[in-house]
Amino acid sequence: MSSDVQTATGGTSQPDMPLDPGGGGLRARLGPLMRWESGLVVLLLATVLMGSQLSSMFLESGNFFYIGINVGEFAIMALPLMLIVVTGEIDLSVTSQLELSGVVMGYLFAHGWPIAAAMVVAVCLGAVTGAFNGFLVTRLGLPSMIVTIGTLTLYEGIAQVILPNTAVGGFPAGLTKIGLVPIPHTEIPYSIGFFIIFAVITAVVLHKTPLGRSIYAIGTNREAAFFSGVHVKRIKMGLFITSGILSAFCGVLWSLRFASARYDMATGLELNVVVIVFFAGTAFSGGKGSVIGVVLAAAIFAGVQNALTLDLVPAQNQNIVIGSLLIASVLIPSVADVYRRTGQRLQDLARRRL
Amino acid sequence: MKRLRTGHLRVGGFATLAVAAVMVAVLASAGAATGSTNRVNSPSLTKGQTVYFIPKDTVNPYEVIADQGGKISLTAIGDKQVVSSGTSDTAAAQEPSIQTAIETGAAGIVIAGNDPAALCPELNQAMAKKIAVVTFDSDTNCRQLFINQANTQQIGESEVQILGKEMGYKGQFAILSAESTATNQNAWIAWMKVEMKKPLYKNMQLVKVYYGNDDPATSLQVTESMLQAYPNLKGIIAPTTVGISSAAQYLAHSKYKGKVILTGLGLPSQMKEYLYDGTVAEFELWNPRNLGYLAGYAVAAIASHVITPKVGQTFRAGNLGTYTIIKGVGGLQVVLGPPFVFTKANVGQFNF
Amino acid sequence: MTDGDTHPDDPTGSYQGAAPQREGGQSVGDVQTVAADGASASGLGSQEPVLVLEHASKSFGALRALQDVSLSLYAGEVQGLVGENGAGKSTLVKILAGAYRFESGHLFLDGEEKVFETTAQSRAAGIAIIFQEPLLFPDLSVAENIFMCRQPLRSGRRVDVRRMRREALALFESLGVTLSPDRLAEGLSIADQQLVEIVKAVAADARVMVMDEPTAALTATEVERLFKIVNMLRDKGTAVLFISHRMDEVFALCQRITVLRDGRLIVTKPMAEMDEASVIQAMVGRDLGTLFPERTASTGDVVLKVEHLTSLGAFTDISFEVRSGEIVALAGLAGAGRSEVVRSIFGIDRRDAGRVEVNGRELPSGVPSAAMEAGIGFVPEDRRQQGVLMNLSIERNIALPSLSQVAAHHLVPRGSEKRFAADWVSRLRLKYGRMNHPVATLSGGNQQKVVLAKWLARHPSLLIVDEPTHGIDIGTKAEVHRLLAELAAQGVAILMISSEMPEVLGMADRIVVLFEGRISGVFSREEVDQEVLMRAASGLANRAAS
Repeated sequence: MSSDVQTATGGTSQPDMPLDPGGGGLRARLGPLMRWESGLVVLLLATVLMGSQLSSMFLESGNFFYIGINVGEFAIMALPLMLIVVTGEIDLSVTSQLELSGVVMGYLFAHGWPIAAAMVVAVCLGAVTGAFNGFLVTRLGLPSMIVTIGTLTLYEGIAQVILPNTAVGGFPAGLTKIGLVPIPHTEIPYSIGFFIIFAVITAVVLHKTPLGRSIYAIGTNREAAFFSGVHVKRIKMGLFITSGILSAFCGVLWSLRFASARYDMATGLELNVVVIVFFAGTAFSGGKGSVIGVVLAAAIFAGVQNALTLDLVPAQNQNIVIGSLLIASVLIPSVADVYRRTGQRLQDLARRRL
Repeated sequence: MKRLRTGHLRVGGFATLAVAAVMVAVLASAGAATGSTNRVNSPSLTKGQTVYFIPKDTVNPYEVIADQGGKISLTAIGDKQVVSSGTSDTAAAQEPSIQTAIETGAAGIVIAGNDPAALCPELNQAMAKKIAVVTFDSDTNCRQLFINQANTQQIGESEVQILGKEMGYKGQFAILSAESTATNQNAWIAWMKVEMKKPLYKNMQLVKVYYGNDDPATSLQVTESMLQAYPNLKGIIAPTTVGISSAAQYLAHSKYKGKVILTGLGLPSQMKEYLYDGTVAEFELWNPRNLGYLAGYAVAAIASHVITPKVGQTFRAGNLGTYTIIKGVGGLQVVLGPPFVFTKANVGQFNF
Repeated sequence: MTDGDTHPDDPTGSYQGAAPQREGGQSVGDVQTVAADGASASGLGSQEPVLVLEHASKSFGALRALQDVSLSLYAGEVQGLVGENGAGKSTLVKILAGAYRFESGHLFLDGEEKVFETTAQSRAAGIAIIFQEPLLFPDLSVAENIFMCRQPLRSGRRVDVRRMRREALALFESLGVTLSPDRLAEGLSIADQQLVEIVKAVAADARVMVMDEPTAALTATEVERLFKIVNMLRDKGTAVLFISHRMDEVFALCQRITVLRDGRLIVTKPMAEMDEASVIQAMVGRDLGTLFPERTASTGDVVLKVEHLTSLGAFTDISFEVRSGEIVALAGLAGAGRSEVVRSIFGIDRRDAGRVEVNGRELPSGVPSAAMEAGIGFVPEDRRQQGVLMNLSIERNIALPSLSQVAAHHLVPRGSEKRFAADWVSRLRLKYGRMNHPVATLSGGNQQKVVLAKWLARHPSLLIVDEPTHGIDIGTKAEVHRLLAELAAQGVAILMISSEMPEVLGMADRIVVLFEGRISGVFSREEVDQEVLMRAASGLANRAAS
């Protein structure tokens, strides 16, 4: 059988059909990403249902604030991390950049700097730490997984040198109340407010701009993207810097929210960010991910955690739930993929036999 | 003295120096002075309240026992205990539990703070909503009352005293602490250093404070490295249950067994074998169950408006007797009692 | 298969010795020159062949890599196997190696039919393949490599290291090889690695040795040493199938020669009955027919000017020009450095020396986006890996290099990529399902059209196409050729790499031939024929240069 020759020579021949064993044009049209996101919507509804069953508090007005406040910083950091993962890299040093930023802000404030200046320096420091990650990954070509595990420890180490074993606090009460009260006339915590703004910006950049197209292209095939004139290294560098800046911004939020800064205040919490990013349907191998996925994943993550805490489920059992969700998020698409590929292989085989 | 006697701990055989004696005398006299209020206070504790116990994490064995003590006292009062926390020792992990307590309208919170400052925004908010906030084991900067397991000064001093006696007041020693930020650890270490200034210890030298982060593996590693770094090390003080058991585990299987003196704060159940095999001769601890038990009565007393609290007020803590509120370092506190010294001879009587 | 000794067409079992006649009688009918395989003429007819391949066919999708190819190999002969790139040599080698299975045909070893499911079975049957770049275990010693998986054992299944070493030394001695069996394979030259592979084959009692372009990476002295060993093996009765692009080597080493073209057997003859010209003619002799459009070049200004371009280890001192409306072909054998030259021009690789000018402006080294800005479009050789993003949709692939044009106010409006791509999709007559389907759903030829579309959409003044019709069906091939001719007529300068001589001759106005990283000839279409090109590409003396 030589379908290639037929389609090429016959002027009115059939268009090539996608290799889809299910034969459903519908599935191809929706695309794997859409399917994952609709799954997340269902899961979010299930979470709300479960939460309202587990605790009468869950749907109470006021609880939305608590659902949001515990996930805000993670959700913000998940946005640039998602972009980085889409390009096929990863940044595991987000929380240590958060800690370093918070510690530097606290240190400067404790040494008499005005809080605003300390905040600006802390956020700018994020650009530096992010650029260092980007330099190691794009210029020296080192694997980002290893590099950022290294800087995860490195940045926290620097933070510890700056503030060895004390916490600094005493930030102006007007600022520290961001952890306690929502944005006036709403139930939205400040961090979630910032998240919404950043999410909209990220969504526009990723889904509506040439830069976003290039980010997907890099993740789909770095080499082919480079052959198409995409500035692969420059874009990756920019994303690492963005990740650094937003992590540092979260360091400021975090320190204000807890009214203190300490070098180990977010140790181990990078996993929460990673969970949100991958639960959002972002492909570890790159090329796939969406802002709406991150928003939904963050909402589910926060909702599940809040519902379980309200239901007094012990923390270790909550970890089991969160861990299972993460595994499911990579397992389900890959099972679907194996199913698809097996079908295709069988089809190929049948074609060859003919 | 009767007040310090407990169901589990016998104070007999416990020898403290002058400072401790003065301390106890003050407490005893305070208890005697308020004897008349006992009968008034106890019946008026409100029943049916919910109290959140928020340990550093949900798996710390010491605090699990303390929480059990809290359950005993709260059940006796007729209140309900809820234990809630995270699995990592961070302020961020404890925060959702405080929020839940606030949201569900709990009467009181008993918390072992992972961070003295970072929990304050939430705890202040809880207090603003008339929730009684009591800290135990590890204090925070914002609470109504701290249940001090033992006088910080007494613990610091007695640790050095035990070590000095066993080392013959000569040689190098190191401290194996928990996190470098742990409030209680740093307070004890500060008092150890004060005690060291006495001429009795002029031939003893504290070489370094190591931090095992209350993680068995880290503590083990740190023990190994301090013994390598200081070959002439003669003693280790580990004022943390995780630290002392890890260090004992290392020493028991090394050439240092019996040569390096180890003491500190430990759980009898974990340390029993090391007392019996000679790795450790003596260590100290208070009874964590009594700590939680006392915290339960304290928080109930505040939540029931039996105490305000302020200095000099007293309340009755079930079979532990009557306690008086005194002024401590970071605010108001009550002191459970002096630490108890465990030896090969008495350790078999304890099961926690 | 039932009985190994019985040929399916020969139930009497008297198959022995019948092969030469059979081959003669069943030669490919449409090629006149194949009358006999020449075995008897080269003095081998009295024996039976060690290896017989009969009517082997193999296709990959629409591509028929091997069609009805028959081949016999005798003990004590070195048979040359030649053909253009894509003639089917590699497929044949992989079939013998057990890596591919043919769809129809038979393989006999010593008259016994064999079906190889795995490469291990082929090895066990006594066929050894020596690749251009051998795959040794770098961390093992030479002796350990030679006896990999067949180590002599002592009691308790322990490897007998001493015996292994002794046997390796004996083998080296018998072949006149001076290598230490104890040194690690890491750091051995390619020539030495090949020797290790050959010794490994001898140690495994291989009766058939297939050498796939073994000399491509060797120096002259190393080639000489290799030939000595091959001759020694031949004298010891090994049957050798020797594949090479270099005519002089084939003539120096082989007793018989087999020529493949387009997957078909063209001729098998004793070396003595062939000369270089007849071999080359057999290799390329194909009717160019209507595959290539009629075109008259009207060239304009210089668009691309390459001066003394050098990339260490890849190519040296390359200078040429491409004018507006002109198609210039870079010809040469695989590995001559053609792709490297164009990659360097486009800025994929950095150059070590020399200049690249487009429309009078010098390009920076190693910046593809600058090359794009200057007006270069680049259709790379590896379409699947470099040309398209397989999992990205057709429309996004086509719009990718033109995003700044597609975008309005820095945003990409909904549907704008589809509208942008639609024009080129219809002009190139792309066969597709939906524009938002991934490119992976398209056939090879249509994928290539996507690559062309994405560059044509930028209206390049210079289009570089590297093997533009490689692996695509004949119909699309003709379309691509017509398209290139149209573009040239519109004034686009085209630089084309092709390994297909007919394509080069059918399309190019001028031909720059590379040999081992240097320009070995520049020809205009009028003054050149395939033979001249083949000579230049094989490093033989140039008759004409301009």
